[in-house]
This record gives sequence, C-alpha cells and structure tokens, in this order.
Amino acid sequence: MSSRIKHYINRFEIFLRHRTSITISFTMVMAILVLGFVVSNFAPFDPRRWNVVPRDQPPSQKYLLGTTTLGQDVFWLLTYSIRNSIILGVVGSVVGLAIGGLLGLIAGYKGGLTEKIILVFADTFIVIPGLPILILLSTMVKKQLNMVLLGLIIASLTWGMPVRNVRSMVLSLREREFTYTSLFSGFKIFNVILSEYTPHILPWVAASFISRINMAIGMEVTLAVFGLSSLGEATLGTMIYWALQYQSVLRGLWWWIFAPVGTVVFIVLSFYMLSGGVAEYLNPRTRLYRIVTKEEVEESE
Amino acid sequence: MALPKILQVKDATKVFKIGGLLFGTKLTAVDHANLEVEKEKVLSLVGESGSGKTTLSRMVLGLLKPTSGQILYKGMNIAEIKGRELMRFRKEVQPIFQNPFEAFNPYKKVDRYLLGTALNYEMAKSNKDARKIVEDSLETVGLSLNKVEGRYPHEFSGGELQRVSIARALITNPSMLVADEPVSMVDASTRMSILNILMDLKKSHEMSILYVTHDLDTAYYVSDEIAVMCRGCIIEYGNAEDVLTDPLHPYTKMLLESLPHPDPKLRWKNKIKLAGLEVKEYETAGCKFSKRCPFADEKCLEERPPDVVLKDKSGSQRMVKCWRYGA
Amino acid sequence: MNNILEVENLKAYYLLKTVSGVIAAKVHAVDGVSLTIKSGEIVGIAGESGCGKSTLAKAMYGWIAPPLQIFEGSVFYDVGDKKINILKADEEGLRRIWWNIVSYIPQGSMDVLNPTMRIKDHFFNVIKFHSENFDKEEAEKTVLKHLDELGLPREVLTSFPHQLSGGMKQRVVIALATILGCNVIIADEPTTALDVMVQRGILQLLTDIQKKLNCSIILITHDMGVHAQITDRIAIMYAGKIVEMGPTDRIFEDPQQPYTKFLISSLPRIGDKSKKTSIGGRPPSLIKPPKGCRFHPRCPLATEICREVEPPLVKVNHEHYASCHLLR
Repeated sequence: MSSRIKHYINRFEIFLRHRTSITISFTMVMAILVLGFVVSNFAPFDPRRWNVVPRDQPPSQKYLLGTTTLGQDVFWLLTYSIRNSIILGVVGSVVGLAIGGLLGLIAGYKGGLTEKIILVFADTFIVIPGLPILILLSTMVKKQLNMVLLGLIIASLTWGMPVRNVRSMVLSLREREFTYTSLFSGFKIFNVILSEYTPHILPWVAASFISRINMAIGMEVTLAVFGLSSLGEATLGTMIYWALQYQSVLRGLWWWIFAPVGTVVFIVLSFYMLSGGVAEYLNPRTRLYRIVTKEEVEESE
Repeated sequence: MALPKILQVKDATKVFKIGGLLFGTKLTAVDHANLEVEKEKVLSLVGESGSGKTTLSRMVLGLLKPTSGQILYKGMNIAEIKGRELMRFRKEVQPIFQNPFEAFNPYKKVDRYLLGTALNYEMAKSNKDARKIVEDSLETVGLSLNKVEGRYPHEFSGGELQRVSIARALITNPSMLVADEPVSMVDASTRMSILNILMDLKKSHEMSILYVTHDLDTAYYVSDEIAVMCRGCIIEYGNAEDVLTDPLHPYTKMLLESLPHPDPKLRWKNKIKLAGLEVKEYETAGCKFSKRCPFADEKCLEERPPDVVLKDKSGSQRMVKCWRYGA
Repeated sequence: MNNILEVENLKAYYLLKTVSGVIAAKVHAVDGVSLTIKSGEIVGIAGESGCGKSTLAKAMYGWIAPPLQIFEGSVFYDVGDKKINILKADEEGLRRIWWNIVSYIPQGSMDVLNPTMRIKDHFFNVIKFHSENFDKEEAEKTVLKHLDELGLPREVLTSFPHQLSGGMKQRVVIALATILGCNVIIADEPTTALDVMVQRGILQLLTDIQKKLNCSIILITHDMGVHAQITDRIAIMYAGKIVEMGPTDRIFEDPQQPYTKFLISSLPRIGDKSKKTSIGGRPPSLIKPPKGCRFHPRCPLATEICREVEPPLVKVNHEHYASCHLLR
C-alpha cells in the first residue's frame, strides 16, 4: 500500500518539476492558501471589528501591513479576505463547472431534442451580460449575502460556457474508433463517457477550474467596488471598497489599498500560471509518454 | 447448394448533407448498393478513397443508418434493432478497425476491452473464467495474456495491437467480422500472418468476413467473393478469382492495370490520365466512371447503367454495372 | 556518368533527453550507411517503418535538427567545380545546394502547402528565396512553362490548396520541388495514402521529370511494387543499416539476404494462390540493437556467428551487395 502512495508522490514530483513555471506558481498558490486558511486562524482578534488597533498606522514591526482608518489590522484582515475570496472563487468555479460540464456531457452524447433544449438555455446564459445581472441580483439579496451565496450567484451566470466546451469535446470523442470498440465490447454509454472520455476532458477541466476561480474573484472585486458585495464581510473586494471610501490613496495610506490590490494581482497571476502549466502537463501528446509502463511499477516496488 | 445468407444489403443508400442550412450540398456516399455475404465466406469490398466502402461498412455495423434501403443481418433490419436485440447483434457482428492505435483509448489498458467483452456479453461469469476465455482468444492470434496484461496501446507495435483487436473481436464467438482495412497500417513483413489468421477463422470459427480494402492483392489472397465500388456504386460483383483475373468493367480493368506489380519485368506500358475535379464525379446522372472511361459514349454520361447479371467462365454469377454488357 | 551524391559511413542518431537534460536514450536510426548515387539514375530505398530510411532522407538533404544529430560520416554533393559536404556546409553552401542541386519532397507533403496562399504564390516564394533578382513576369513565364511540361493544368495556379485533391496537391509539390531544375530529387513516401491510379500518375510524373531534367531520384518507400516499377537500383534497409543493394531486377530475381527474400516472397500477387507467411517477431529496438547481425533474432537461418559478429556488405555480383554470413 505504501508503495502506491510513494508512486503517487513520485508522480506529483514529476509534475512539479515539469516546468519551472509550475514549480513557481505552485509555490505561490500554496503561499496564498497557507495565508488564507492556516495563518488566518491565528488572528488575535476578529480583524473585521473596528477600532481594535490604532488608526492609520504605516507598516511596522507591530502592525506588519499597517492599519486602516477604521482601526483594523491590515495583515490579519488580509488573511481573512484571502480565505473568503478563495472560498467564493472555488464555489463559483466548481458549481458552475459541474452543472455546465454535466449538461454538456448529456447534450454531446444524447443529441437530438435534448441537446437542442440544453443548448438554447446555455446559449442564453452565455449571451446575457454577467455584470448587470450580478449587480441586480446582489442588490436584491444584499442583506443575506454570504460567501457561498455569492459564489452560487456567480456560478449561476457562468455555467453556460462549459456546456459548449464539454459538448464539443464529447462530439469529437463520439466519432473516434475507440468509442465504437467500447460499444462493441458491451460497455454502456454511461460507462464510456465516465470511464473513457474523462481522461481526454481532464486537461480542459483542470485548467478551466483554476481560471474560473480567477474569474469569480474578479467578479466579486468588481461588485465590491460598486459597493454591492457583502460589505460587512472581509473579502479582497470589500477591502478595496473601504480603502477607496476613506480616500486612502489621497491621504497617503498606501498600505491599505496596496495590500488587497497587490494580493489580487498575485493570486490571478499565480493561478493563471498554474492553470497553463497544468494544461500543458496534461496535454495528451506529452502525457502519453509519461504513462507508467508495467515495468516501471514493478521496479519501484 | 447455397449456404444461408448472413448479411443482405438491399438497395442501401447513404446521403450526407455537407455545409450549413442555407448553402449546404448533398453527397451520396453509397448509391443503391446490393450485396450478400454467405456463411463461412469472405466478401471483399474494394474501392479507392471516396468509393463509399467505409460508409457501407459502418452501416453494416449499425453505426450509421441508411438514408434508404435495408441492411438485414440474419433477416433482421439492423437500423431498427434496439436494447437487448442490439446487444445480441453486437455479440454476433464484431468490427476490426484500420488503425489499431485509434481503436483503443490511449489512456486505457487494453485488457479493459478484452476482459470487458468477456464479462459484458456474459461469456464468463467471474473474473477467473473471463481470463481463461481471453487467454484462449489471444492464443488464436499468437499472443498470450501475460504479455498483454496491464499494458497500454502505445506499448505494442502496430501488428501486435491489431492482433489484440482481432482477439477481442473473437471473444464473443461472432458469426461475422467486419474488417475495415485491417492490415493497411501494418508492416508488410507481418501483414500476411494477420491475413492468414483471418482466413483460418472461416473454418475454425465458422465465420463470415466482410473485408474492406483498397488493396487488390490482399483482397485476392483472402476472398471468395469481391464487390468493386466506384463513387458509391457497386460496379462489379462476383467470384473473386474470376473478377480479378478476368475483369469486365473498365474501371476494374484500369484499377488492376494500375497496380504496381512487384516484378520489374511487368512494368507499366501505357500512360494514365488523372481525374480532374473529383466532386463532379459523385453527382453525375450517368455512370460514375464515365468521365475517365476510355469507352464512354453519350449514353454512359447521361444514363445510370443497369446491374447486368452474366455467367462467368467458371459458371458463377457476375454483376457488371456497365452499358457495354447490357442494353 | 559521375557520382552526384556520395554518402560515406553516415551515423545519425536521435538523442532523447529527460527533463533535466540527461541523455536517456540514443536511437541509432542511421548506423553506418554508405551509398553513391550516379547522375540520371533512380535509386529506391526500401524498408519498413522504423528502419531509418526517413532519417537517411533527412540527413541526405542536410536537414539536421535536434534531437537528430550527426555522429559520424559525410554527405558529399558534386556541385560542378567541387564537392560540398552538406552536413558541414555554411549558409552560402546550403543556399547553393538546396533547390538548385537537390530537392526534397517530405512525407505527407500534401500538407506542406500553406492553406492561406494561392499556388502561384507558393511558386513565387520559392523562386524569390533561391535567386538573386526576382522578376515577377519572368517567374510567371518559368512557372507556366514548367507546369505545361509536367502536364499540370494552368488553373491550379489560382487555386488554394484545399480546392485540390490529394493527388493534385502531390503533383503541385513535385512541381514546386523541381521548379529551379535540380540534379537530385529526394522523395520520401511520395505516394503513400494515395489511391492506386493516382499513385501511378505520380510515379509517371516522376519518371517524366527524370527524363526531362536528366536528374537522379532517390525514392524512399516501403512499397516493393513501386520499387519494382520505376527504380534502377534498390537499397534495402533494416534497423539502421543497408543489408542489400543492387540493380532492381537482380534484387527481385535473386535476393541474397534472408530479410530481402522474405520481404519479396511474402507479397501477395493476383494469380498466386499459394500461402504466404510473415517473418515472426518485430523489428528490433534501435536504442539497443541486437549484437551481431541485426536480423538474427527473426532469421530462421541464424547461426552462432550471426549472433556474435556483424556481417559486412560483400559483393555478390556486379553491383549487387548483401550482408549475410551465409554468403561466404
């Protein structure tokens, strides 16, 4: 059993060393996640509360990233914000991808009327301009807006594109001869899609998942700047909102605006690099050469 | 005494629509084809690319539905079977594809398909029994389970993987194999052993084979009967030995003449004229070969020739779709 | 008749490296090949997939790019006043040789045409690149004359590649390769994937060009029938080496090497109902080729010495060479 684990660890190492961009971006992403999910637990107080620390302090040894006009510690506030933004990003990405992907699989394989109906709905959602709807929806539910809800709202607007992408992948896979071989081997359609098509679709899914996180975070920031996010919560967007509200730039409180903006840029960059690296690593052409042969497994045992 | 017919293709036609809603065109890939495959016989379907032979073979496998006409397997209309009957059909009619590396999913081990076939069609109840059946099948093609087990397609050579393909098809003990260019991607030095395997199956497994190819030499080697296709129409059909040594249709003659014989003493003597734009050949009202035929006259260009049935020198039936042989 | 091309003990290997740059494997694609081509002859290089013939073609043309590397040997072209080794030539030398002395028709060459350019622009590009001054009118005249000589319709010039059939594209590529006249044409599988009748037309075209330009053709294909039809001499390759070489009719009538014998006798022929057999096993790995004769694991006549010592190429007859220990 432990040799299997060693095997997977080995494969993961190969992935990390495949390209320098992967090693670097993975480290960056890990740094973000650690900050958001580990470090945030050590906050000595709730970073959202006002007037906990002296106001308008520049970064120092005591206050690592300075303090805000509302008496908040920027560093601890940032860790909470990262956590919330990532949660909302992942929810938005996964839910949208799951719904869209599933519908795309069904549309691609079934064809006929089912496909046409699914496509009509998906196309409608692709074409609807996301931002105005987002603004509308968030004004309506403003009171109860938490991270998961915000993520779901974003998912509900972005599930259209995966339908089209997955469907076109399934359409081309359906015509390939190994599909016929599977059918003539007695496998049912469902089994074929799950078992045989997944490895082909996986590169796109992995890359899409990561880039959609960026998109969701970006959407939240946009909403927040308009004052439409959950302003009581700590997110990267709301930090920017409050910093702008209190004229942090004009008043020279550069640390307050720089922290969330810099973090957003850092997150977007690192996730983007990682998604590119993952897509390239999982690219069918390079991947086949890395499929472990029987001998390699025996050797490692 | 004629043996019962396993497969009957009756006036099968397949029309594809190409292009969009407004400006699309139609392509008649198979044009009123008629043929029959008897029990324990090999029928070769021969033609160049674009002749419709692959489309016809896909219709026989039930992967495409004919636009008109019928394809009957043991009397059943293939286009209408569903559910349990479909499973039964697929158990009895199995395919072998041209490119073995495309016939298997590159991300899956090949034994998935071998064991899967054995279990899904209930040839075996347990994994242990399935392995026994797969082992026997692999032995027929000259391989063994421990050489094949746990391996991915890219770990095999083309010839070996094609044998695995054949072994998989044999597991359900089918009555008919539809082999689409099974050896064209295999090296010349291993080609013959695969063809020998196929030929031996006729007697050892009571199998009929529909052998689709562009290679007349291998068609001669394996077949009992042959049907020659040109742009969707079957233009000559009969006993393989007779058709290939004594061709009647001008197209068949020209095809045979153009074969590069591996004998320096038999070099081409005349020059050949090549086709212009091919698409035009599909849509003629007359004979599909008329634009290139040295014997064509006005009637050939305007009217579709009938299926003329004659008797061969050896007494067997020959069909030629040519105005030169019938009024 | 002088030698237009001389290949001497050519060793071209592919170096496969791991991610960190360590050399993981050396593929001995061309492992000590010597060959001379006289002017005006058609020489065929036969062999199955993986025997190294495509690599040999690339090396003869001087197209060496990583992971392919030349380890030993030379390829000399006779350019009139001297002989140039294309493997060591500088840019000036290459410009002199490529397209003027030697043309290359690669495998799958129907796909080398740029789908966004008309055929006439393809021709103009070739002429522009290989001559000092480019005069559009002159060029147009040359192209039209060339097409007429080769029997290609003039309408082809204004077409885009996707409007042409596979056979027509191949003829266009051959016309492109010979537009500036040349002494040697290297054609790598020019008729694979083409129908039998189109293949005949293409081979006809090649022989017509050969007569008009009096050039040599090196035809690389696995199809023995094609070799029988148009070549003067054949070289049979196996696992990176030439195992037999000689005049075409001698090779077919009296093959000496067991591999050649098997290859020719296993070909199905119409009219021949005898049972044909294949050679067992598969071609050896070029990373670790077998010791001794490379064919010995599959050869039914292999003896002790075949397993240990590599047989040299010996003269069997006038111009007919083969490498097999059983010939002594």
